[in-house]
Amino acid sequence: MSDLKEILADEAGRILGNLCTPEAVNAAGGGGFSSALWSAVESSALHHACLGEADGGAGLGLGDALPMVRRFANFAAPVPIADALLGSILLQRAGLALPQGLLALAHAPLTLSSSATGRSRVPYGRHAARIVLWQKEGDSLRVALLDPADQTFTRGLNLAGEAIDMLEMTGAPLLAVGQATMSADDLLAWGALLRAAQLVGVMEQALALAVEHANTRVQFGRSLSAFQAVQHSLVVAFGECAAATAAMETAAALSVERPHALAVPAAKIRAGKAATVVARTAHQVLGAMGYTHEHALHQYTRRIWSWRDEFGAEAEWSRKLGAQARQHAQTGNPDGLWDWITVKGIA
Amino acid sequence: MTSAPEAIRFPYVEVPESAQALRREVRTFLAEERASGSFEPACDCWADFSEAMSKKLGARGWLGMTWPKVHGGQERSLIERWVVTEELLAAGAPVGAHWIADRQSGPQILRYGTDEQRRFFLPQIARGECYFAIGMSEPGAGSDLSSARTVGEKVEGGWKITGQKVWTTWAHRAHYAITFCRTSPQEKDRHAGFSQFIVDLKAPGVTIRPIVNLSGEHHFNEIYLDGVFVPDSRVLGEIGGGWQQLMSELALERSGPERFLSPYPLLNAFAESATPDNDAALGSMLAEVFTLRQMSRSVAGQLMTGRLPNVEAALVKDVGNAYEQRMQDIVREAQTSAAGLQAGDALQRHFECAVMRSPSFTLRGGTSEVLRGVVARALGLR
Repeated sequence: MSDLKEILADEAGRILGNLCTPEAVNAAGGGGFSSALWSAVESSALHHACLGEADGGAGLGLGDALPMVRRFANFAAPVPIADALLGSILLQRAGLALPQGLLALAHAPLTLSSSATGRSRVPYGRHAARIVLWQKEGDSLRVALLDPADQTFTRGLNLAGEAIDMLEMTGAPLLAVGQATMSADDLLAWGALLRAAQLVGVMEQALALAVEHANTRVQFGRSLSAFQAVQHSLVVAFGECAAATAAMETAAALSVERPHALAVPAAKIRAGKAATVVARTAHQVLGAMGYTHEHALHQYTRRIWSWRDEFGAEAEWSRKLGAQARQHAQTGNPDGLWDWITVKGIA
Repeated sequence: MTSAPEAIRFPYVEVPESAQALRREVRTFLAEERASGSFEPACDCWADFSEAMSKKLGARGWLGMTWPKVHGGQERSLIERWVVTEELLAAGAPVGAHWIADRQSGPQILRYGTDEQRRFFLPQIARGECYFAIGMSEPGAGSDLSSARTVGEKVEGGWKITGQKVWTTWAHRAHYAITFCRTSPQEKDRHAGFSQFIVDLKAPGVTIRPIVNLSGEHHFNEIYLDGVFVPDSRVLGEIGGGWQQLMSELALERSGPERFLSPYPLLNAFAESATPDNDAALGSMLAEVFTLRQMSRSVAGQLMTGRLPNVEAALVKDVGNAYEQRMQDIVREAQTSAAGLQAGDALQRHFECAVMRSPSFTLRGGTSEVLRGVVARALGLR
């Protein structure tokens, strides 16, 4: 399986290298989308990587798709690969047929039966061919497929300039409805793990830009990288990124059937913290140049500022993780917390 | 598009079932020891000296455990050793007596020593009976070790060592110190001309004086070496190869769980007395511990493949030490809004110990500044 995940990541890298130029990324700013890139993704079935081979997928677990997702983030690709992967898994778990075209993913509105009524925040909604709506139902999820063609969107953007559209539905007819064997908590955790991988991808690129600038920009007669203060702030940021990467990769390895209860929260917390440091450091090193729209840095740092808060920011995951830890520590066994931290599968 | 340098990485390393079984054995032993009153869990426990504990661990085969059986080892993997190490630290057991010998002096002797040296030293270390100190720092050579001025001069049958070492933890109770000396005059390459000697700390000419730390404890010392005779048989490795030998110790010295688990007993005490108000603080610390354990274990895994991950080890220590110091702030901030630190309870005791020892975290084994220099070089910044 490890070979396959690298093959997919390399395939993604090849496609992105051809189509996801800085011009294409800039052109998609302000809520845009690269349809040329998405066509190539669909041709290679990268968006179905987590489906079974019978459904035209590669049969990867979501954790094994993360190297590919990270590659998309390396390029600040203006396509919702992570949400599309998760949407395809939901449809498959619900036994619903996969439609053609871009899938968007959204938490469902008030009523979700044969029709939908309410408001829903939909990333890339205006570009989607179909929207996968989900709603918690006990320990599983109700999943429905909506054609957004006749729906009203109020257009919005996240800090990264990605389309985040508000969908207003009043008795909107649904194309299909099903029940997926996945808990709402697990769905959010999978989303958090995907965002952690995406954060690593944009952190790597922001750091690469900062290191390159430090090595080439000359002030006071020497390169910025000759100043120890600059070296050390870059190293601290690099260490943060390395830590986030290690946490994310471990969480991926441990989350085979289900998202791991300790590893996934830890990965999202660590990635969010690290990304904040990386964005701040990269901007400091790149100076006023990095603060312009012309420079590519903002394509990465603005994604950091958006993605760190999506699928649960550090505070939310820290509370959840801390509550679990507290319960394990307060069983009366002095090793209770350590037992939990080192249980097989985390060890 | 370039990404982070490929050379610096922390691939996930699984813990095999054999190591988990070993983990349970160690944990059971430590729980029994704790119950019997043999030790009281403490922060920074690898600075606490207990011959009794070291001998018990040696008797169970948990020291020198990766070494060949012929030298008293168990031929276990570095991952198994890593597991034992973190169990000892999490329990807060006093493991300072054997720590340096087991972690780096023994492995150096195994790697560079003569067969006679291996046969003489390693079994004693593995039994928990023979302790080493680190003879690196000098008054004029702290972070800048290449300025070391202690000299080794060739004499009939051996070497005469003259100079001074400092900050030498447990030198007053250890038996030997691998001592870093200049054995030929400094040339253009400032790393050339150094050698390592296994100095018997009871030998004539060795004077050890205490240096009391800020909390009044006597851990470290200064060592005066006044023409100390070291026989040829106690040269470690190559004369002139000291710097390279020393570099190969650093990954062992910097990457272990002691670089982030020193205040684990404080974290545990905090969790035991936490209220739901403390969940966010607790969760953020847990995320760090989880992450650092993966990074540290990854370095152990890389060492097993023969790679020398010095840059990764520097990052484990730097990120780990930053957490060790920051977690004290998190505990303080959380406590101001919750129960408060109660005098005399475990939380208070661990907090005070962690705070008083914390200045040493980012100094010992390479300062943060030195570590960041190592990483900066690898990133192409210098």
